[in-house]
Amino acid sequence: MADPDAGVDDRSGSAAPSVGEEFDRIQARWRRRFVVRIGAVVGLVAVVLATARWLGFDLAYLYAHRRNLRDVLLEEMLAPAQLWAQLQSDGSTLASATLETLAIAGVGTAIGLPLAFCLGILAASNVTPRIVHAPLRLFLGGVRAVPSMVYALLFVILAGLGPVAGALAIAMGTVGDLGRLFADEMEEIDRAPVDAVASSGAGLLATTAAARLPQVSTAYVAWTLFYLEINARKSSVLGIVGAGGIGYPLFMAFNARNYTRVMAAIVAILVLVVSVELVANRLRSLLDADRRAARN
Amino acid sequence: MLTVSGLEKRYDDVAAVADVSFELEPGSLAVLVGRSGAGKTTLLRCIDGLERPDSGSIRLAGEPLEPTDAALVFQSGALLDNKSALENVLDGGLAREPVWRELLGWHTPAAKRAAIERLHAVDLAGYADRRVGDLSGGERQRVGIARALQQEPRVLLADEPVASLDPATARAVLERLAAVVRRENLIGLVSLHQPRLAREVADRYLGLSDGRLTVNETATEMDPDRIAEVYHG
Repeated sequence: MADPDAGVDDRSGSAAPSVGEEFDRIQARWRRRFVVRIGAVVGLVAVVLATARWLGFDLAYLYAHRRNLRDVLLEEMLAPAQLWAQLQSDGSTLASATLETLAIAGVGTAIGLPLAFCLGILAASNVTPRIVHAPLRLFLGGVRAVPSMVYALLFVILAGLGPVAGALAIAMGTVGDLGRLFADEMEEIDRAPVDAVASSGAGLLATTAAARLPQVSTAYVAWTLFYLEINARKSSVLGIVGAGGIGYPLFMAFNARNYTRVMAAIVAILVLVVSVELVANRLRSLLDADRRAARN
Repeated sequence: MLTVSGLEKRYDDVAAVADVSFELEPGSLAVLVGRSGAGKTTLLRCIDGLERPDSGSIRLAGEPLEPTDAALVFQSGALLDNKSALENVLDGGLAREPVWRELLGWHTPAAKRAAIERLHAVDLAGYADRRVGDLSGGERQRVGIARALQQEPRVLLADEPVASLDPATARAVLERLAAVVRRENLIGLVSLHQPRLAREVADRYLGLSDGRLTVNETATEMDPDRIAEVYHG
């Protein structure tokens, strides 16, 4: 029987090597690659160690002072009777601050989300021309480069001390991070359905609504819920710079070296973050169930 | 001998495969024919161990078929585009190797040599370090066959392996697959949507309709018109 593949696939012009020749070539190449990889890992570890040393990492010092941390942890933070008494006496203040933190996260996410949605779509290279998406990408990168804590300091000047500054700081972080994620997600979509709709003469907005958004909607919802969780965590420390929430009593307790109150605030943060995560997970599973039902 | 007896697989209330029984001999290629949704993919996935049948048995030489004994070639190739052909083929032997070898990319010389031999067996000599994403459809499908062979299976399954290929390339890939099955004395089962191609390679025909086996005949017994009937109802 003639070679069934003759003339079918593109083949290299040179004669095909034998198994032994190809094995020797591959072995040599893989050995070189292995040496390069080992070299890269060793180099990376050396850089990390040198950088840690430059930062002042001193394992001997940390080991010598381990008792300080142990005493604070065992005698003040993790002493059940003291912690329970603190939670009872301070419960209402901490609960109110926790609710405020949740509100900051929720309002901040709600303000940032529509802006992130619009900017994210416009910043996708497969939606808008370079003249639009390139500056928007740069803008989102700039917004992301500034930490939420710095935004909180800036918005304290605008809105005064309190949760409004916190919510605005969270909104800015949401615009930067979520906008970038939305743009990246949009760039991964399948082009064929977009071409199919566009070929009907539909404009950019109609094509986006009919063929692009349905491909990313599930991912966008998942990212938004994930960001709500992240924002709940971020909001819990904004109080340190006066932007409201549980961070303020936490910071004041640290300053007063009242570590039992610090632990009580940490417990409140844990409850908040875990609750938000549970609700987000529940919403995600409901969405999944809806999608499955729609498919059947 | 591969013996499938009373195989049944249901999704909710729908029987994708219902009471299917047949036997296949080593060194021969059976072609599985049937319309879309007839249950061909489900049957192949059950034999491969990717789906757990609700009832029935799948035995190889009288013993229950182990998942490592059956390899499946997927319709789309199911290859990792950013890996080389050799790395994709080496993935076929993962069940025999410790995970750290895959994580470090540190495969034994014997495994590498065997993988290169598989590539040569499907006429891909010189392709070992070519990135799979750069290969043509026919070449990719043959890398998929080489990967299945690297598993050292006794049963080679293929789910519409030439569905997305042009006729000449499809014929080339299928003839290569049939040659490997006969040379290595494997039990081959391939689902196809091309009756003409099926006639060129089949030793036996199995026909599915609504999950039930409606055809089980050797190629010499089979009336070509009946294949067309399976597709057209």
